[in-house]
Order: sequence, then C-alpha cells, then structure tokens
Amino acid sequence: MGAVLRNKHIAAGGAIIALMIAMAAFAPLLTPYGFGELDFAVKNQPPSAQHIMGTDPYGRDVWCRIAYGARVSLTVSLVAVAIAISCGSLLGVASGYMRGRLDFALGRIIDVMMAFPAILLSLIIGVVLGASVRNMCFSIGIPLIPIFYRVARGATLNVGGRTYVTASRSIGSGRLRTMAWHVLPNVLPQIFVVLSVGMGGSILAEASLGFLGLGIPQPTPSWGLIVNEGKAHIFAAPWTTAFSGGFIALTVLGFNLLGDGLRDFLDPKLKGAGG
Amino acid sequence: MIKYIAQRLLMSAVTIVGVFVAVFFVIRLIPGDPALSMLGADATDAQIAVYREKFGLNEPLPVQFGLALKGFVSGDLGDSISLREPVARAVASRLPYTAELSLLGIAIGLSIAVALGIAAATRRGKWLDVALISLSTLGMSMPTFFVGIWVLMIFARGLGVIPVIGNVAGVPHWKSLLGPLLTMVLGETSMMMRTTRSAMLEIFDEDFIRTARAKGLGERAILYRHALGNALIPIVTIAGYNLATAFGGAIVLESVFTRNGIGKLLIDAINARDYPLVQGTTIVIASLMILVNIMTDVAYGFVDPRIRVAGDAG
Repeated sequence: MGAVLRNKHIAAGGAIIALMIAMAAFAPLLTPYGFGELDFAVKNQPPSAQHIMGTDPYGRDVWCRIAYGARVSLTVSLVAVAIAISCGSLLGVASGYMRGRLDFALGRIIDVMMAFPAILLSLIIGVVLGASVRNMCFSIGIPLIPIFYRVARGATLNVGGRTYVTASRSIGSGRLRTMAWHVLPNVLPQIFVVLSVGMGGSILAEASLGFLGLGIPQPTPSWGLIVNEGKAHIFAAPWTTAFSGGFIALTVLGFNLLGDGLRDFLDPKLKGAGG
Repeated sequence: MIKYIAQRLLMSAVTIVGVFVAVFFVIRLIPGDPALSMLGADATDAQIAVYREKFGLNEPLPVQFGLALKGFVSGDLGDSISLREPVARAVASRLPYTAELSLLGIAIGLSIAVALGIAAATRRGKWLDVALISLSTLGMSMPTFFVGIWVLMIFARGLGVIPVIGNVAGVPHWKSLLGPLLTMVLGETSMMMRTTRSAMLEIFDEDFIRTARAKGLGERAILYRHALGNALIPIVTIAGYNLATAFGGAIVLESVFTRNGIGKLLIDAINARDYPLVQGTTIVIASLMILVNIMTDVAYGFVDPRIRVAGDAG
C-alpha cells in the first residue's frame, strides 16, 4: 500500500476523489441550507459570506446544490461503470476464451456500438428509456461496454494459452469454471486501470447530457442539472456554471490522474511515457 | 493495397447495415404508436392512415424493415416533422458546418499537438515537458461545454471579438467559426500531444535510432525522418479517432455556440420529438464515423509499408 501511495499520480488523484466522496457523504453537515430551499429575495447573488458560491436564479445556494449534486453524479457514474464492467468483462472474457462464432458475432455487435459516438448513443438510449436517475445509469453505462469488452477480450487472448489455464482444463474443469476461476481473476487488473478512466468519462457524460437539457430531471440536483440551470443565466450569474463546471473538471482530473498512476504502477515499463 | 482497402470496405458495409438495423429497432422501442410519434401529436386520422400505408406499418415488422432499408439504400431517410422537409436534405444542408469545424479543428489541433509533443519528448523530464504534460492532463479533464462557455465569456462577452450566437445573418462566416474552433483545438490538442510524445519516446529507445546516431546523422534528420516517420501510426490512430468522435462532440459544441450543424440538428430533433429526423441524423453521424475509420485504416497503409504488404498477402 505504501508503494502505491508513493506514486504521485495515485496519491493526488486518490486525494481528490476521496475529498469528493467525503463532500457527497457529509453534504448535510457541510452546507447551511437545503438543496431545494428557494429564496427569491436572494436570486442570482454573487458569492458572499452567506452564500460562498453565490445563488442560482431561484435563490438556491450553489455550494449546497453542488455538494448534494455530488451524491447523484458520483452514484450514477459508479452504477454506470458497474453496468459497463460487468457486461463488458463477461462478454469480453467469453469472446476471447471461446473464440469462433461467438467471438465473431459479439465482435460485430461491438463494432456497431462503436460506430456511434458515446454521447450520441447515450442520447438515443435516453430518448428510448425516458429521463430518470435509474435510466441515466444505463444511458451512460451501455456506451462504455465496448471499452471494457475490448480490454477484457485482449487480456483473455493473452491469458488463454497460459499453462495454468490448460492445466485447469486437463484436470477436467468445464469451460465456465475455467473462465470464472482462472481467466477472469487474471484479466481483472487490466480492467481495473480502465475503471478509473471510465468513471471520469461517466462524470463528463452526465454533465454533458445535463448541459444539453437531456440529463437527470428535476428536482434531484445532479451536476449536469446545475450546469443546465446556470446556462440560461450565464452572463448575469456566471458563478453557478463556473463552480459546478469547476467541480466536474476537478473530479474528472482526479479520476484521470488515478488512472495514469495505476497504469504506471501495474505496467512500470510505461512509466513516465504518458499518452 | 487494393485488396486491403476492399476488405476494410466490406467490413464497414456490414457495420453500416448493423447500425441501420440497430437504429431501426431502437427507435421502434419508443413507447407509443410509431405513426403518431413519427407524425407528431397533432396528426389527423387521415394523415396517420396515409403514413401507415406509405411506410407499411400495417405490414409485419420484417416487411417494414425491408421498406425502410430500400429507402435508406436509395438515400430516402423519410420526412422531418418539425422542419417539413426531407431528412436527407436537412442533414445535407447542415453537414458542411459540422464538417468544416471538425476538419479544421483536428487539422489545427494535430499540427500544434505534433509540434508540442516532439518538443516535450526531446526534453523528457525538463520543465517544458512537465508543464506540457500537466496542461494536457488538465485539458483532458475539462468538459467541452465548460471550455466553450469560458471562450464565450472571454471572447464574446468580454472582448467582443466573436458573436455570442453563431451563424446568424450579418455576422461574417469566419467570425462565427472562431469560438467553436478555439474550443475544439483547446480540447483536442491534449490527447494528441500526449500520444505524439509517448510514441516518440518509445521510438527513441529503438536500435535504429542508435544506429542512425552512430553513423553520424544530424539530430534533425533523426528526429523528423527516423523517429517521427516511425511514430506516425499511433499519431494517425489518435487523429482518426478524434476526427470520428468530433462529429459526436459537435453535439455539445454546436449547442454552446448555437451553430447550425448536424449536432444541433439532432438535439433540436430530440427536443421536438421529431423521430424521423433523430433516426436519420443518427445514421448519418454513425456512417461518418465509420467512413473516417476506413480513411484512418487506409492512411495506415500509406504511412507504414509493412501494413500495405501484409494486407495484400493476407
């Protein structure tokens, strides 16, 4: 663990993410108002002692909404990535291990999914499912499946021919057992690295969909929704967008740093190569 | 080379058909009567009957699919409800705006990225390298809309050098392009720069670079002919990928700058529940992405003769 934390990227990224999680968890303790508290007397106020990040067009405290919004945005991203990882890695391992027709068929489906820009796929899934917190997890998660599928498949092709896999088969384990007990655990570290980047991508996706007005609907404050509400008053009250956008960028930065660090850590050969 | 391109084209044709099948069935998953959702809520019974007949909605699903595919192949993407014109024409009139922005953005971004990437790689670990890497990490974390809003705040509102609202009458075309272009270049440069840098660093460790140096070749020749020439594959890959996704990224960018490209067309179509337009725009964007991927694959063949030869042999 000490060695992990000595990696500067992991330490910095981890610290940012830990702060964001703490902010989400302790939101009620950290904020003086409720996230939905309307006060039209103080609408579109610049940052002040009472409202450290100003107020939005409805007189709601921006800091308050950002802290509570972290709960929704982080949870949605986590669930979305969980959906993508479970589908992507199971299909990827199956594809890479079984080869043949299954691999070919899954490969073509993934090709089709990858022909859509992620945000376009999210939009279309959102249109079909309708807007809600739960559906947003699928809208963001499904377009991420190909990334995890490809990493899992590639890693499986690499692991599939190893002695311990052949040994497992030769002592009579079925394919399913071999995949679950011998292939999957050895593929997971590589998926782990992509996880962090996937989280950053999910946060960005939620924010972008929100910005477009096609994100999580009212009244739940998510970062995307806050950005969207600030958009209409961008010139009169830029702080709403500036602070919420800043928190989004910082969180994505945290996940990107963590991903960079984990990659360096698990594959020291690439250390400092970046890219 | 021809065989290689033919192979790629065949695979892409399969993918485009797959895209069409996916979009066709996904749009039909939207709850409610497809005729009603395609014509809009204020359609009369007679209009619905005509529509059902025209698109064979009274026929079984496979027949419907056949009719839609026939239309697609002949370039007929149906009619837009909100714009009251053929979808194909609406998309065609907006496409140049998106293409112009994406192509220029990637071209400018790539030139800057390669120059900075080489500068960083040759000064590995020095302050310039560290600064560029830090900036690019920051750049990759910035949401497009966030950068776009700041560009608007600074250059439109603050300095007044670009229009707040994109292509409207009275504003010179090039002026309306500046804001989105700047935002795009800022965003795209980061990842391409990092790729250039790491590709160059990897090549620096190769034996042939040492050989070139040992035989007394100048640093410039080593850098540009030997190192950059061999680092082109990952650079072409990332540029191709970025160009392909730029068509998707245009959705956000065109919304920030109110630019009438296909991205904004799609968002307007979704907000107007104009499903034929959603369907048509989606298929066109996905097809463009596939097309760019083919072009990237073909570019590999030009950049690296080994791929050309292997493609023809295989």
